[in-house]
Amino acid sequence: VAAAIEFGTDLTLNIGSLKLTPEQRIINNFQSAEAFEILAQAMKKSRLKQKTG
Amino acid sequence: MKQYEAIKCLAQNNVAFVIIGGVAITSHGSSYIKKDLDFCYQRTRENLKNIVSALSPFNPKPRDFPENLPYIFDESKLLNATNFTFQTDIGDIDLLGEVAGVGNYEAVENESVIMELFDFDVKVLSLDGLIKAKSAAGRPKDLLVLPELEALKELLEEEE
Repeated sequence: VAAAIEFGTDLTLNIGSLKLTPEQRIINNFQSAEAFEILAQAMKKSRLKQKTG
Repeated sequence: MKQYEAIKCLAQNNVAFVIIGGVAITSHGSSYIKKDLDFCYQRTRENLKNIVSALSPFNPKPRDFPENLPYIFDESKLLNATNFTFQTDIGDIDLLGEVAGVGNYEAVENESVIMELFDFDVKVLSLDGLIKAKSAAGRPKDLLVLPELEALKELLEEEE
C-alpha cells in the first residue's frame, strides 16, 4: 500500500475489485476494454468530423 | 471481446498453459484494463496439437498478417516459432513459450497459482512471478503496474 501511495496509484478500484472473484474481474476487464474501444472509436470519428467540417 | 472464452477452450482441450500478463494482473485484483489475453504454453507436440484444437474455432491470424490472404493455423506454425501475437474473432491473444524474468513454461508453471475460472482449475502467474516478469520487461507500461502489484501483494499478505 505504501508503494502505491508513494507512486500515486489509485487503490480505490483495487479495493472494490478485490471483493470480486478472479473470474468476475476477468469478465469486467474485457467488458471495460470493449467500452473503451467504442469510446475511442467515437472520439476518433468526432475528431475526423471536426477536421473535415 | 470475449477472449475469456479462450480460457475455457484451452482448459477443455487439456492444454498445458498459464495465464500471464495483464489478465493475470487483473485476476489478482488490479484495476488496470487490458484488451489482450496472454498465455505461456508448454512446447510439446501434444500440447501444440491441443492448442490448435482449442483456438482454431476463433480463427487466429498473426496481427500483422494481410487481411486478404489465407492463413492456416496448425501445429507446423507453432513449431516454427516460440512467441505469437494473434488476432482472433474474439480479440487479441498472445502465446508465449517463455517469459522474460521467469523462464520457460516449467519455470512459469512453478511460479503460478491455481484459480477457479469458468468451472476449471486454471494456472495463473503469481504476483511474485508477475513482479519478476514486469521488472524484466522494463517497458514504461510494465514499470507502471509494479507499484500496484507490490501494493496488492502487501494487501493479500496482510489478509493472510
